[in-house]
Amino acid sequence: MRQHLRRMSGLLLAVACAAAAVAAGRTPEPSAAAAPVIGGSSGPAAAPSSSPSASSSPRAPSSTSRPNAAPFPKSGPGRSIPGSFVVASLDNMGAVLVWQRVLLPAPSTSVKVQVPDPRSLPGLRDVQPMMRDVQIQVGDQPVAPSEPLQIGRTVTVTLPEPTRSVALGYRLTGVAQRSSPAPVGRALIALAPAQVTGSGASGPTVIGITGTGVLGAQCPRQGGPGQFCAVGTTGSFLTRPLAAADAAVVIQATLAAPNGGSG
Amino acid sequence: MIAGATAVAGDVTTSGFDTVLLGGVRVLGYLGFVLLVGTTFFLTWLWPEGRVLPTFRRLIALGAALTVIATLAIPLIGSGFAWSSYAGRDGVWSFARISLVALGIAFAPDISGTTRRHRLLITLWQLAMIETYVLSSDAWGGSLAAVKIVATTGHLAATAAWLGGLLALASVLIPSDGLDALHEVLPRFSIVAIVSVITLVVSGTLHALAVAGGVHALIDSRFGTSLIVKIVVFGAMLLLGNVGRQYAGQAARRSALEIDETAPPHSVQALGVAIGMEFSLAAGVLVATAVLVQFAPG
Repeated sequence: MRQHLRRMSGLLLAVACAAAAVAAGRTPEPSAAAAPVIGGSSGPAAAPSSSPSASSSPRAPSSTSRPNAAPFPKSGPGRSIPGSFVVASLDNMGAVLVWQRVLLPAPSTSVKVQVPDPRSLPGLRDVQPMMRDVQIQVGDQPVAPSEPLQIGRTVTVTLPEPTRSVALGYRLTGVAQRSSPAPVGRALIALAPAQVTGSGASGPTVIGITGTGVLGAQCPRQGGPGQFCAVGTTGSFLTRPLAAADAAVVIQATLAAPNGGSG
Repeated sequence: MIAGATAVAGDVTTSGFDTVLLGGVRVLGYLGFVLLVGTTFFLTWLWPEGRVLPTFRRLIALGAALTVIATLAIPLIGSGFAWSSYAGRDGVWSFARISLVALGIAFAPDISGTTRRHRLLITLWQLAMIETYVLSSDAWGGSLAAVKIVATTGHLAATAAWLGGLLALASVLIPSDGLDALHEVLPRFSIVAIVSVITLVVSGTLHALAVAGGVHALIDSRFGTSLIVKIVVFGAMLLLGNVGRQYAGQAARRSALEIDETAPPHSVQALGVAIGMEFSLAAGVLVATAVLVQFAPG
């Protein structure tokens, strides 16, 4: 009787765990942003999981600055699958602070970084883009590029260890062009995030745009209906995944007067 | 520092306590795996008659408990206390592992009396247990996936056979219980240990190179540095194992492989202590492995 009970309870537990395994397989993996993972796999003596969510990767900036906006997705390119996830925050001066997380298709010891020249975007030929305050990070290690990153130039960055996950932070200035005639402060802002390539093909890029004055965003390089690539509400927009080579948006925004206009 | 980079920098200051806790639970999980799979391997292939000793039942029970606890706790500590912590591939293999442990608990008493007859079944169960770790590790996917899967499977099997055997031997030698049987068991274990060490070296090298992406990439990384620490501890473990056996053999004025009930008690204990120390270093290897997984290329 006791043996029978043991067998039955063991079998029931085994079946329940098998069902849980099936359910776990059908549940989307949380991204690193949703829940920062501290380490790797649970496998003894084996190296850690290659699951992107399992790397100790930097997290996207908080979305608390996005008024009336749903949080950015927790998975997708740059987070749970190869590609880039970009968060661009527009300031009052028309500069864009960019945070970018790149998930490479395979571990690489170096990457090529190129920030495309946004002057090829329609209506933005006269902007004077500059890239400043560049920061690169792998795991918890800052990485210094061997030469300065500049708009339109490709730079090879040697990484301290083989990795799939690279984080970048930089500021783009001179990318805003005031519209005229237009209400005071109205401007178009060009944003073409860095293209980071390691070994293998780059994945798609998703761009999130935040800033109180952001009115909308379009992807002119997509052509046709594809130009309407971003969804959201005033202050916060998110594009659909874009091919890395064509990942560029034109942001329409109202730049607030300095010092709130009270000066 | 720009805002985005502030967020980047801020994110990596993950709780140190969580990191230490996760590392500790990982080591317990490794120990559970060694106890569960290693001891069952020892009883299946090296000493089926030893199944009557209660020590082995306790080792297997402890191994099962540690395996289940670590398997459940690691995703929770690493990803937060929610169902989504078990989502995806890691969750699938975690629950599959617990399911296998439950099956083992359900039927172990039925087949423990006939381990010889059920060798194939038990070995398949052990292999399935190992694969739950392999398929949730970085061996799956990426380039050279087949090489990594085979290497990792061999690595885990060798780890379990060697360390599990060491623990099983120490548990018999230290209380000097059932030494007659060791006359036959020690030569068998000696062969298993040699094959395991060769397998560990070959599979570990292949795996590390495949994961890092080459020799230079391996050397120029923290993953490589922590791997060197693991190799140094592993080398010390091998040396101590050899010295311990020589010492015990000299104390008994006979080969360590000939130790039995007629050997002087101090030589038996010397061998037991040497094996115990060897396993202590093995625990060091497991800790080094827990550190290693923090730095593996992600």
